[in-house]
Amino acid sequence: MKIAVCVREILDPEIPSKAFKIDAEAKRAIKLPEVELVISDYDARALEAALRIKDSLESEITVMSLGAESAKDIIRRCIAMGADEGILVSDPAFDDSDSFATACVLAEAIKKQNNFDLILCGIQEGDWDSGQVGSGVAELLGIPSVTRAGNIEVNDGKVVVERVVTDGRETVEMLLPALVTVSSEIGEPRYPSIRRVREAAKKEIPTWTAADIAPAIPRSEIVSLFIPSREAECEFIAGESPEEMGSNLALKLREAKAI
Amino acid sequence: MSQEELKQDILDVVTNCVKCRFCLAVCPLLDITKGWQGQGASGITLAIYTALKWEVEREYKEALRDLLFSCTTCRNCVVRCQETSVGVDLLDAIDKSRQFFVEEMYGPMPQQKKPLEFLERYGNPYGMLPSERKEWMKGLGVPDYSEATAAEVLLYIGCTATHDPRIADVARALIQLLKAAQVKFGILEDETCCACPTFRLGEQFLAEEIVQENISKFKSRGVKHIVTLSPHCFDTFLNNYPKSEMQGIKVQHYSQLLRDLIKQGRLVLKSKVEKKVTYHDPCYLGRHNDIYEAPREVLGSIPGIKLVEFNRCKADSLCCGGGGGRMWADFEAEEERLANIRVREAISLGAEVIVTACPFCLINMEDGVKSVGVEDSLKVIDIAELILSAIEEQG
Amino acid sequence: MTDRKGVVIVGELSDDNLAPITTELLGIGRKLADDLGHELSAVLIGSGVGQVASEAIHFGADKVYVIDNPLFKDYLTDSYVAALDNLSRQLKPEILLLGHTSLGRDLAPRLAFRLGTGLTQDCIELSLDEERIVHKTKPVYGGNAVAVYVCREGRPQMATIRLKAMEPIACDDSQQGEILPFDPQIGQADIRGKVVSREEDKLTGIKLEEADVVVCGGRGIGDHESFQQLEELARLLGGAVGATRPPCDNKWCPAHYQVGLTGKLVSPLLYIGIALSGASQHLAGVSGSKIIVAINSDPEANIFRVARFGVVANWKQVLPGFVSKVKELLAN
Repeated sequence: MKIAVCVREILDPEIPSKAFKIDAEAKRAIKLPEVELVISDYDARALEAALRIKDSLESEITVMSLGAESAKDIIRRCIAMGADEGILVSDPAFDDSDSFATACVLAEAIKKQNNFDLILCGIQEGDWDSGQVGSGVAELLGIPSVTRAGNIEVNDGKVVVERVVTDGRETVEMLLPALVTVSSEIGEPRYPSIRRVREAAKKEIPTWTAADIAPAIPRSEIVSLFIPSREAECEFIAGESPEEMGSNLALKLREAKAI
Repeated sequence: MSQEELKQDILDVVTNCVKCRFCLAVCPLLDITKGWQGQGASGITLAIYTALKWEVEREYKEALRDLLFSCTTCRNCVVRCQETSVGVDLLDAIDKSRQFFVEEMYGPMPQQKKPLEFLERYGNPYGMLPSERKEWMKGLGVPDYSEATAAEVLLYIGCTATHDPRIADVARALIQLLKAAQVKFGILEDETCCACPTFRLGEQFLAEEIVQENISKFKSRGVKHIVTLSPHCFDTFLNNYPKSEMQGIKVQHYSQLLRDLIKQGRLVLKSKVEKKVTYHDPCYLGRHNDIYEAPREVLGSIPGIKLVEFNRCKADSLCCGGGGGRMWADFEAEEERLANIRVREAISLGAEVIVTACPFCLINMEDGVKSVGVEDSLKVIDIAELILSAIEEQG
Repeated sequence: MTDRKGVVIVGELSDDNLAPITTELLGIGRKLADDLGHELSAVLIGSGVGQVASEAIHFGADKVYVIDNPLFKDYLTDSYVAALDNLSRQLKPEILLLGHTSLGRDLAPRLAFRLGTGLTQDCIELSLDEERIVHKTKPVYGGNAVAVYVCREGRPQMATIRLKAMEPIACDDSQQGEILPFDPQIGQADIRGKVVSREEDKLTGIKLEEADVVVCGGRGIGDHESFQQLEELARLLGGAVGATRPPCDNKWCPAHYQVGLTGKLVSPLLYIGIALSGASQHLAGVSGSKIIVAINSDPEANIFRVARFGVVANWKQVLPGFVSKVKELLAN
C-alpha cells in the first residue's frame, strides 16, 4: 500500500499572542529568530493516520512538502515518526503560491513520484487556514476525496472513512486511489523520541525545483493582512463580595438588554 | 540503553516483586481513582512486566500508557517495599518503562507531549520564548552569575518561577532573604530547564542533551555551589546529572541554605508570625532525598509559630500530584485530586496555613483550596515567604 | 467575463426547513446582487427539497433552482460537485457563495478547482470594489490576524461564508419569484463513493451555533458535577452550554460542546465565559458574540481583553448571586 502525506511547515502557533507580529507590506507573519518552525498540526495528524494504517497493513509512506529548505526538518521529523521517505519541493518560483498553485505543484509532484493508493492531507493549514489544498489535489489528480476524517480504514482496495459532520458522523466508502483530509478527531500524533529525531536528521531529502515541476499561476491574491484592534474596554463589575458581584452583573446585563 | 537492555532491566527488577501488595496501601493513585489493585504501585509494574514478557496486543497500549504515565513518582511504594517487604525499586522499573515506551512511540500521555516539545524548541516546558525569560531574569535585580564578583552561590530559579506569577513571588521572597543575609549570589540570565521533565517522562536523549549544555555552563562559569528553588531541580542535579561531572559542585535546596543562614545568625527572625501552620513534605525533598528536618528547623525558628503535623507527614506525606510529569496531565481514571484531599486534611487539623517548599506543591495546593472552597480559612504560603515576614519589621 | 451575470447561493436544509446559513447567504447574496444590479438565485439540492423553495424567495431569492433527486439524498462530493458544476456552467454567475459548513467545506474547494476559479473560505465579510471585484475577508493564523483576498480572473468569484457572520433580510411572504427544476444529468456511474451509515450525536436542547445565549466553561470548572451548574444557568437563560478543550478532554462534558476554531463557532447575543482564560483558539469561535461576559478569578486572563463585562472572582461564589438575581429579573 503506497501512501503519500502532504505536510506544511508553519510558524509555531503556540507562541504567546504578543509574539505574533505581521509584516503588513509583505502580507505575511514575521518569523522572529527565536520562534521555531513546526509541522502544521492537522498534517501531523494526517501522518498519524497513515502510520496507523502502516501499523496493521504493509505500507510505504512518502511525505511531500512544498516549502523552504528548512521544511526538510519537518520531513525528517515525519521520518522519525515512521514515514519511509520524503521529498521537498522548493524553489523561489513557488513563493507566494496560493492554495491553487500549491495544489498544482503538489499534484504534479505526486504524479511524478509514484502511483499512490492513498493520499492524506490535513483539513486546513495551521497558518492561512484556507482548507483547499487537499480537495484541490484530488480534483487535479481526478481521484475521489473525502474531507474531515475522524477514522480511516483500508480494506480490499477500498477506503472506509468515518467523516465528521455537524451533528454526528457519516461513514463513506470509496474505491482507491483516493484522497482523504484529516481533522483533529483522528487522534493524537505519536511523539517521536528525540533519539529518533536526531537519527532521522541524518537522512538525505531530495529537493525538486522549478526545473522538475512547473510552477502554477495563483488564482487568489491577498490584498491586505492586519491584526484587528480590540476596542472593547472591559467594565469590571464591583461588589462587596463575589455573590454581590454576581448580582450586580445580572443587573448590568438587564440594563444592556442582554437578559 | 537500548530497548533490549531496558526491557531486560525492567523484567529483572519486577521479577522480584512478591505481590504482597503492601505498596498499594500507600500509593496516592488509589486515593484518586476507583482504587483497584491494578491502578497503582505494583499494579503498574506488574502490568508492564506482563506486557513486556508476553508482548501484549496493541489495543491495550493506550491503557498501559495511561497507567504508566499517571504515576506521580512520589516514591512511597519504594519506601514501603524497602521497609516491609523485599525492597523492589518500583520507581526504577517505572522510569525505565517510560523510556521504553517513549522510544516505541507509545508514550507519554497526549498532554505530556507539549512540555517535551516546548523543551526541545525553547528550553523550558512552558513554551516561554527565551527573550521573555531573559527579560524576567534581568528584572530581578540580581547580578548575572558570570559577572558577579566572588559570587559564592548560583541561585537556580527554575522554569516554573519564570512562568507562573505566584511562584515568581516566592522567587522574589527568596532573593530578598539572600540579600538580607548578605549572601554573594548570582543567577544565570540565560538559565534554561534543569531537564527534570525529560527525565521523568522517559525522554532520555533530550535529557542528556540538556544536561551537557548545563554542565558546560556551570564549568565555564566556575560554579561551585548551586541553590535551587525547586526540589525537582535539586533532585535532578543531585541524582540525574553525572556525578563525575558535578564533582566539586555543592547542590542544595534553599530550605537547607536558609537553615544554615539562620544557624549562622545571618538571618535574624524577630517578627512574630502567630499562625497555626502545617508543613507539607514535598516528595522530591522528603522521600527522594530524606530531607525532612531542615525545613522544620527553619519553620521552628519563626517566633510565635505553631507547627502542627499532618497525620501523613514526613516519609508518609501525601503527594500533591505534580511529580512525574503529572503537572501537565490528567488521566482518564482520575476521579479526585490529591491536593483536594490534602486541603481537607489541613482543615481538619485546624491549620490556617499550609507551608510548602516546592512550586508544584504550592500551585496544586492553591488550586485545591479554591476547589474545596476554603480560601477564607486556609492559605498556602511558601517557606521563603513565611521567613521573609518573620524578618521584616512589623507595622 | 462580460457574459457573467447573477449571484448564486447554495442553500442547505435542516429538519425540512431552510437552514439558518441559507437565509444568511441570501442576506449577503441579496446585497451583492443589488450592488451589481443582477439577480439572486438560490440552489437547493437533495431529495424532497422542493417544498422549501418558496421560503428561499421570501428571504430574497429571485429564482430558486431545485435539484431534487434521490441520487442527492446523501451528500457525496462527486454528485454534488458534478451537479453544481453543470448548473454553474449553464447559469454563468458572477458570484457563487456557499456556507462554511461541513457540506460547504467539502464541496466548495473541489467545485472551485473544477470551475477553474479561486476560492476563499470562512469569510466574515464580503464587499464589492469599483471594479466589481469581491473583497473577501477571513480570519487567519488561528484567528490572530485577518486577511482580505480577491480573485481577479477566475469566475465565478467564490466564497464560503462563516455561520452567523451575515444577516438574513426580513422574511417577506409577499415576495414573488421563479422556482425552476434543474436536471444536472448525472448518473450513478459518475459517483465514486457511497454513504454506508450515519450516526447522530445525541443532542439535547438548543444547538450551540443557533443559540442566542451561550454559557461556556473552561479549565477552572474542575469537574463534571460543577459543569451541571452551567447547564442550569443556560436553561434559565434559554441558551446552550459550550466548553473549551480541557473540559471536553477531561470528560466533564460531551466532546461536541467544544467551542473554538476546531469546534463550534457561536455568535449569540450573550456569551458568558466562566473559568476560562480565553485562549485565541477559543476566542476565534466566539468572536461573533454581541455581548461577551467573563467570570474568572485571574484579572490577567486573556478573556478580559475582549469582554464587555467582567467579574474577577471565584465563579463558584459569583454564580449563586448571579443566578438568583437573574431569576428575580426574569420573574418580573
